Amino acid sequence: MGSSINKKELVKKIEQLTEAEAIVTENEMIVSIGPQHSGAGHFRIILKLDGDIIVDAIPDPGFVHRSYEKLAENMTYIHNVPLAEKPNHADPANLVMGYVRTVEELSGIEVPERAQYIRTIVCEINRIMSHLYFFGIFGIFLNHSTMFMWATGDRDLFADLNQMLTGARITQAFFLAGGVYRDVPQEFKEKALKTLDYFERHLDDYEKIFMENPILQERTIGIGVLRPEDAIKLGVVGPVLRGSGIKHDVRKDDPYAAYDKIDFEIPSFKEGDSYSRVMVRFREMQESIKIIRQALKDLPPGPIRNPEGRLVPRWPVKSGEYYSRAEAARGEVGFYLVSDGTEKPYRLKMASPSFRNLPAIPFLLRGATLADLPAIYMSIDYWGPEADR
Amino acid sequence: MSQLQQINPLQNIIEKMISTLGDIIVDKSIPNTKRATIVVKPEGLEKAAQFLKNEGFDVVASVSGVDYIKEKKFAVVYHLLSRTKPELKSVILALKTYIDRDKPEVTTLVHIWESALYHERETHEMYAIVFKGHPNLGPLLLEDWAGPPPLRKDYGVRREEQWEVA
Amino acid sequence: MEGTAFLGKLENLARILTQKVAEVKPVRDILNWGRAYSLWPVHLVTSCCSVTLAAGSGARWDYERFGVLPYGSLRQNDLIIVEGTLSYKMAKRVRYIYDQMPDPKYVIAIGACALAGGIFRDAYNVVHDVSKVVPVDVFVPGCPPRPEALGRAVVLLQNKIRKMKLDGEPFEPLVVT
Repeated sequence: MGSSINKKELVKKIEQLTEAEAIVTENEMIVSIGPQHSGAGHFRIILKLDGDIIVDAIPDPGFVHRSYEKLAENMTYIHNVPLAEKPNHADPANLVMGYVRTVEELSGIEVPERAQYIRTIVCEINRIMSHLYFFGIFGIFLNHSTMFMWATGDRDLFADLNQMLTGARITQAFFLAGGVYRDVPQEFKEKALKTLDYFERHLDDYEKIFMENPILQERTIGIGVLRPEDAIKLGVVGPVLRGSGIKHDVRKDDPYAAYDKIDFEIPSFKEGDSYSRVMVRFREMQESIKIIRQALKDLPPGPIRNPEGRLVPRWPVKSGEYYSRAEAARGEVGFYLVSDGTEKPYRLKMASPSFRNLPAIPFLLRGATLADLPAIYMSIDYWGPEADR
Repeated sequence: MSQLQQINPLQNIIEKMISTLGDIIVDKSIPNTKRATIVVKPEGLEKAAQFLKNEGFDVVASVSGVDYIKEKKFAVVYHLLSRTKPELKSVILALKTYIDRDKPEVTTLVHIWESALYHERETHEMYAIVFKGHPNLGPLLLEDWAGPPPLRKDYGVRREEQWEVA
Repeated sequence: MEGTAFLGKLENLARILTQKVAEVKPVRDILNWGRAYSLWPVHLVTSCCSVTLAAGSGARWDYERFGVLPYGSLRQNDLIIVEGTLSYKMAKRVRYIYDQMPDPKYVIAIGACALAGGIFRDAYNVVHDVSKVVPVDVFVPGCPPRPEALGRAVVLLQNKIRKMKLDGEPFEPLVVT
């Protein structure tokens, strides 16, 4: 560690970040795992180690803070649609869904049925893409390169579906207040069903090779246990909450799009360790395949856009305030909108799922060994740009 | 009477709150069965929060500040969810209070809801609203920031000037 | 004392001789060929364009066939891929990382935010032009660019390296079209 002078400077810096008083005894060592590390994440954790055991962990977010909320006040409502999807490029459609839902419910705009089903299809494709990206990076963290290769390879098939339906692989900006931009093309249904059939068979292989792999099970079962009462107290959302036994999902409790007309289940496990959080995401992918199939079968004819939600940039929204939410792949995202009757929002706040899951990281790391850090940190699926906005 | 109670639990909670704590409530608005806003005085914020926690709202979804520069006030809004009561599972309740813009201070609610910890810290960083009693209000997202609090309305963004010129 | 002066002079002589030999055409070609086809990037993600980088290292668009292998240790890398927006907090660390890598090193900047700020141009916390932080060799526009564009950037960089005549010769930044 060097001389004691270095230690005092570091301690002074850490005192600005830590919640308790920074007491560093003789045996402890301070390790800073920064934004450049072999796992790749936009996040820094400062650890106080006593041998191999983590005594305290201090998170340091903010490396990708790009002032989304300040920019949103200076852009019109329609310019805010591509801005709302930038925090999370892995599943952008669900964030845009939350924003568009808030604007619609504040102004009282109705969405036609065909548009609701198309929105459901795009949201579920994005959810599968995000979970596959999670599995890819999870494989790298646990030194399993085959999982990375399979997951990113399958992810490109769904990016092709996105491109056929919306015109872009990742950044779609496909929703607007009152409907969607384009209609489903003719060849889409056949290609989508072929892709889903192939993916469903491949998921069985995933389960046999990855989920029942003894090394992966050794590294994740029983590690980082989060009890239900702690999960409620910390305010976590998404698969972290469902992996601790609490069945809460915005798609069932506060339904939007076409989710109340489609039959699906919410997976949840009661152990609360890293393995159950990973299995929740795995089962969610299987449920998403069912949802897309049903939506394609029941797609009703009709208009795709409500003429009240116009495409013009200078479109004023009724004044008032409203809070609404949607279910992204990492959890529940909420948008709080204050409008004063002009064409730009007065205040737009995004309560992103990664920021709400942030207190779980130091809570779970206290008392764990250093070698368990990848398994715990990755199972929460913290995405830096989404938390920093 | 019990059928009406089952249909709208949110309305019942708000009426109970008005009857027990009527003197601190300034305003209320209930747009539909799932959303409501209650405005309280800043001195009664803690009592209102304790009452709502006993009714079953146990998670803070977000804490935001709003800058009303024309009326020279800040607003601090807490959005609350319930994870334990099944009849409140689709309800979001907003607890709002107005404070003075020149001396923005309000008591913290961290000892009631632990999930408000990082949210209050970020609101302090963006607006310089002091939450009295918070364990650590240091910078979270910005590093070595020397300017005024960024999200206030008098801190301009260049695009406004460009919009007027063009 | 006398021994060290002699060794110092010997080292200077060896350095001058190496430079002279490296300018001879066959040796120059072999050195360029070795450097171009083994560009190892740093494991760094700076912003949301990292999704493109991950897709590019995946199974469909494979960068390893160009010789691009992400390697863990900084002291053995020679390529740094800066993706997306740089905030002031992250720009400081990118400069540290760039200074820690040994010569010769190259920089590819991907995304519209790295070119001129992108959609976040008016934010208070964002660096507008990445070439003020690190000297950039290839720019790739897009939001986010497709993985094929990143592959094209690597190929352009490789062609440029193979035509270098001197060590450390500066060249103009290229833009992928």
